[in-house]
Amino acid sequence: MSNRRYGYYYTAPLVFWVLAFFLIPISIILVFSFLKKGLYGGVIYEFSLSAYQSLLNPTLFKVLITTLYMSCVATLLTLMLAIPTGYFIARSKHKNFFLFLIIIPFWTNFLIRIYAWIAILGNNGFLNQFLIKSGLLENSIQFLYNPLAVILVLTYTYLPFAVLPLYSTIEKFDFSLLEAARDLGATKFESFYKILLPNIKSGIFSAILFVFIPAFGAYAIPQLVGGRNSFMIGNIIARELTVTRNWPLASAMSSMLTFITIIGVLYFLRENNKGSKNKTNVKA
Amino acid sequence: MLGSTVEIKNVNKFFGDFQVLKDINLEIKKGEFFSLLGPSGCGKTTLLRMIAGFDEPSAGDILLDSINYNQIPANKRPVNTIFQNYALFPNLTVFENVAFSLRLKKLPEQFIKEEVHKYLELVKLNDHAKKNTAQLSGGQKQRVSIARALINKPNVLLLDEPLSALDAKLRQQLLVELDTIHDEIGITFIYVTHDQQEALGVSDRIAVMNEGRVLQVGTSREIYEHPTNYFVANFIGETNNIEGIITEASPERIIVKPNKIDNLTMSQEYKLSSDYNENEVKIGQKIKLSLRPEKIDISKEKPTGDNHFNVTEGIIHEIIYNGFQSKIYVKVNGGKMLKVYRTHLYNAHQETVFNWKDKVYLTWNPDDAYIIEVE
Repeated sequence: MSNRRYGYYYTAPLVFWVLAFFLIPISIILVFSFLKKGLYGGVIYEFSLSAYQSLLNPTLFKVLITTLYMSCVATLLTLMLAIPTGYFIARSKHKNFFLFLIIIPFWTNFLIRIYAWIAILGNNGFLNQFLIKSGLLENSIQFLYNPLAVILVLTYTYLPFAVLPLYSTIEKFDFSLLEAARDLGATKFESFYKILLPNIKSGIFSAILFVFIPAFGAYAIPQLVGGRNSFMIGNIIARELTVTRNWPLASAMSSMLTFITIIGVLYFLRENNKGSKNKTNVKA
Repeated sequence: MLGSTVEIKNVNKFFGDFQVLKDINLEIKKGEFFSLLGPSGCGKTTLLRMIAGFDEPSAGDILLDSINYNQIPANKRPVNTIFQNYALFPNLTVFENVAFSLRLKKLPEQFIKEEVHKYLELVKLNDHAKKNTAQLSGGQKQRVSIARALINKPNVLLLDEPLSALDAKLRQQLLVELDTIHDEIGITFIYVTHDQQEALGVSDRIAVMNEGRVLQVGTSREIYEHPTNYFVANFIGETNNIEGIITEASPERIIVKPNKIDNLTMSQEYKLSSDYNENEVKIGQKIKLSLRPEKIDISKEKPTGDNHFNVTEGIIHEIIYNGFQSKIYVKVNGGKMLKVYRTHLYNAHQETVFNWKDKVYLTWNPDDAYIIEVE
């Protein structure tokens, strides 16, 4: 009896953590989204759907599409870089050294790393200077302030989040399966596509979630390296909160963002369980 | 005969500074069940991986039907491998595992279905086609991998310790099945193992390897009864190593005075492997002989008859009873320990019972020991 009761005490810190830092803030946002906006920011405690009505605005819809597009492309690019990287590290003799290299960027502040990209890609940045001096260009090119720059920096920033889960899945992969596939007549590409990829599915799904979720809600990156045509939902939410001071609208957009993310997470979790269910369903 | 010949010519392999294979030369015949037998680390698996195309020789050539395959990648070789750990694809069902190579060739669905069922039938797994590989037992997994390899109709099947992950009974059963499949399909089998019983049991010929070299190639009987080498004699089965000095030599017989065995003059039939010729054997030379424990007769009474050779006496030091036979360690006068096998045949209740510390006589025929080395 007493042992059973202790079980609840053990979960108390977790329950507190989830309540304080997740459920309560989300509930506040959800409640705010159904209220009237205050004159100078804040909310008036009166039920209203006006925030959701404003969501049907075509400009907002366009931003949502841009956000989805950019975070999807960034996720795809990240995966294309992270799978070979994870594979290389998993097969290397110096795993710890390479993992260390992957983690090093975290030692520098996130904003400073974005500014470093501005220093590289800016009109007077390293890249333009180099191209002009080597005679390949006459006038500098505008690399920054467009969707491509946002996608590039998103990919750079979230790459480690994809490499780490992929590495840990690939590391457990039995590489003799690739030899078996080659032995049975598969080309290198076929053995990669038909054997490696399906068997590291759970790592790929984790990588997608770890990259897509923060990229979808990105704020600082599009703010600093994006232009007018590469605004993301995060920027609009910040604007509604601080400039326009329409808290219910900001909350409604945040709720929508969370909602879309949850749907994505549930989808991938279900897909992932499909595979593992088959594996654990032993003895028939 | 189906299958291919496999020739291995002067193959050497280095991993860094370490030489794994040293001047390997082998000729494997069409349709032969050929075993590479040796302790772990002897290079047998490396050699097999080279035939499969997973590793390249540092020097030398690998020929299938007289065509050099050095530069041809694994997926283009008419060779398939059975892996020790089965290497089944966990993301595919049993059916799809077997169908893998046919799907790669984009063959029609109906044909694939028929072929897969035919080969699953061969390994008696038709009822398990829809299962996931994780639902199978070890023996079933290895059967799937056999079907998966054979459906590709290879000329040579490479088996890399295929039974070593299975328990003893299952190992025997699958070994018989493999032999049957070999007889049915008729292609060349190259079988890598460290288990001498497996190799002796099914092979047409065996190559015994140690430390990167092939020490002897021959049929099971040749390898067991006439090993040409100290290592082979000791690795295959159990044996008593006897060292001594030649005291008399004639074209047919030599007489040996063994070390640490008192009052024994050992007469030895002088039929040798080609490694030593007659001229080499002289009086006074040191000689190493090998005497299998089952060739020694043990008795409580001194053997009668005119044969005063190859008789020695000693005290039983230890008896290990194994059911169908006992292994008896006899400490002979002079201090040498000899192992003797005694098989318990019919009328077991009437046979002489040996006990610890009994005084016994040992004897054997002059042609039952064999000469390993002469210095």
